[in-house]
Amino acid sequence: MKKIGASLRLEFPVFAHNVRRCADGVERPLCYLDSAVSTHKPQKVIDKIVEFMSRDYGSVHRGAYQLSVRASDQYEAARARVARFIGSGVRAEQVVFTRGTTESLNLLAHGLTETRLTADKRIVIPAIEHHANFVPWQQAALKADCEIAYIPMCGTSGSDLRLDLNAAAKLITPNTSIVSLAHVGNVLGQINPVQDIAALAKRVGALVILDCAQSMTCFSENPFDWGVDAIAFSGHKLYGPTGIGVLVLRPELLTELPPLLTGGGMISNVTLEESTWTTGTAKLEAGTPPITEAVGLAAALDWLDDVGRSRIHEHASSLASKFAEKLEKIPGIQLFYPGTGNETIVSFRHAALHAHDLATILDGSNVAMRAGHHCAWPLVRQLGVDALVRASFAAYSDEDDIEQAIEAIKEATYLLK
Amino acid sequence: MLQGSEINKETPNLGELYQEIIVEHSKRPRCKGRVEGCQFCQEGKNPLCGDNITLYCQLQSSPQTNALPRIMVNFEGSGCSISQASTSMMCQAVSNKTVNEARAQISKVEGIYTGRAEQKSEDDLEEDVEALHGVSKFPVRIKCAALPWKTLELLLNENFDENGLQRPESLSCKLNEPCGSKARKLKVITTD
Ligand SMILES: Cc1ncc(COP(=O)(O)O)c(C=O)c1O
Repeated sequence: MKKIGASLRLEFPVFAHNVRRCADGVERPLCYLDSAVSTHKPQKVIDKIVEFMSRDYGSVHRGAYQLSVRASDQYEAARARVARFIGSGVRAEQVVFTRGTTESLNLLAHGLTETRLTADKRIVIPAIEHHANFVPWQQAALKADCEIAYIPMCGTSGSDLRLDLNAAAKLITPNTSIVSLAHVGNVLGQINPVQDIAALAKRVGALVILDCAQSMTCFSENPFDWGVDAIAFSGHKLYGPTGIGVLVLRPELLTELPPLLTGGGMISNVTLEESTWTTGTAKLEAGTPPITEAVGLAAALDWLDDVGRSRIHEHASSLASKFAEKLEKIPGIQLFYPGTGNETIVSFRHAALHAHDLATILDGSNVAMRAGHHCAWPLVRQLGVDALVRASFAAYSDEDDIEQAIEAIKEATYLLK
Repeated sequence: MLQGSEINKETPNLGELYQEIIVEHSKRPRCKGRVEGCQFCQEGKNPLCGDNITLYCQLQSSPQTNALPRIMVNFEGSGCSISQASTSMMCQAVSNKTVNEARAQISKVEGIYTGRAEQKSEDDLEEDVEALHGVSKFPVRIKCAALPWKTLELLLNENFDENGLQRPESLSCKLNEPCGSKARKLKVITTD
């Protein structure tokens, strides 16, 4: 079996390049606790990208020449790899490549505004979503002049940091046409009850859209088995490159959706008077696609499944619990952590030390954590704070990270006393 | 140690960023609080971090009728210690200045927090704002220090001409009434 934790770092060149001598003269390794924003890349993925660009690169679907054929084959093989990654029963023809989760969700919101939303309809989303699954729906509701309902949390601390299913049941009314939610929250790390919410949505015939940006590294259940109609995720959070994302659709939904972008590659005919769209995934992939990035993503998925998603989940969530336990003992620290033991993320703040100041001071000890609203402004406001620091754990995280981070946080609280 | 590791260049000293004056201003901000009946206000935000301030500006009444107006600036806000200290220091530094004196101060201080101006040691500072020099060593924090200065610059440019006189078209507002938005209202549904 493949290694996990600190020994896995040897596969990630970024760690060797970022040992730093800190102001106190001590040399510290990179303690990277920001994988929820983006993960680092294993050498295998980097090599695959270099190899593809060096040997097989060409634009896809256009050339008669060998290089274009080879590149097209690899691009389409990447699509099939993504389908297999999601689960058996998912076909490559359902997989649309985009630039990321954000683009995938925008594509959906834009298209469904045209095909489904009228003033009498309703969109339901949690009030705590990442902006990527919040703003597009808010804008869609404005455009269609339809209703939008926000599912609240049960409360604002501890185990109440979860979606309120009773409220969801009331809000998902018969006029609801879209329910969109994250599988895993990017700030609280909570795992949402997707199956329950999908069941509520199906009862009224609403579409269910799942933002899997945070969940794909840890979970291998196929969301389509739960009644989900579309899922979105990004390559860069899965140990793969930036600039590549995925939108997987039920076949009927793929047929229904109009394109967000128009141009080359997505037409069946263009005259001076009008254009018609081609069918299938190509309809939603205007322009030269992210070919190299798709090939890199496929390599990342191979790598990820080699390590094992449930193994990563077990590893990262156990680190998160240990970190939360130590963190809680530091005076002045307030946790925003549901604490079920399944989260791989721990958000927190200090009573007297602003999150940005804390993050800057931590960087002084080569500890990389993010501070701010984490693209979830409505959530952070509901928690009654203005910013949070977030630690997120991944396959290459380990107990030494916890030690380095806890030490640095203790010093920071001392420095600005 | 990791194989093939490189030791990166030294970390800048945090003490330069969090100088005593800055920490003191962030803990005990000057000129803080909403001013009822102020004449001009301007909100400033760093959307990526959530630092958020509102400046309230009033003109001092002057005994000489044709004297240039002098400003008083107060603020409300929340955010990191750098943004809040910088705002506190700014309000202190520009109050009772004419508009063009305030503008000159804005560009002078920009030189300080971006590191273009010459650095003075912590003991030789003539004005509190000079302590912002340490920010220049922390590029990601420059925007925190810059927030109040950019906000004030906007407020002044929107309301005063290049001679420092109030623009005829500038309407000083009554009691900061929330600006009426003409945008379509979202139909938000809640459970309560
Ligand atoms: C839950 C969630 N949704 C959406 C996104 C947006 O992903 P991207 O920036 O790759 O489009 C993120 C990542 O920041 C996320 O965590």
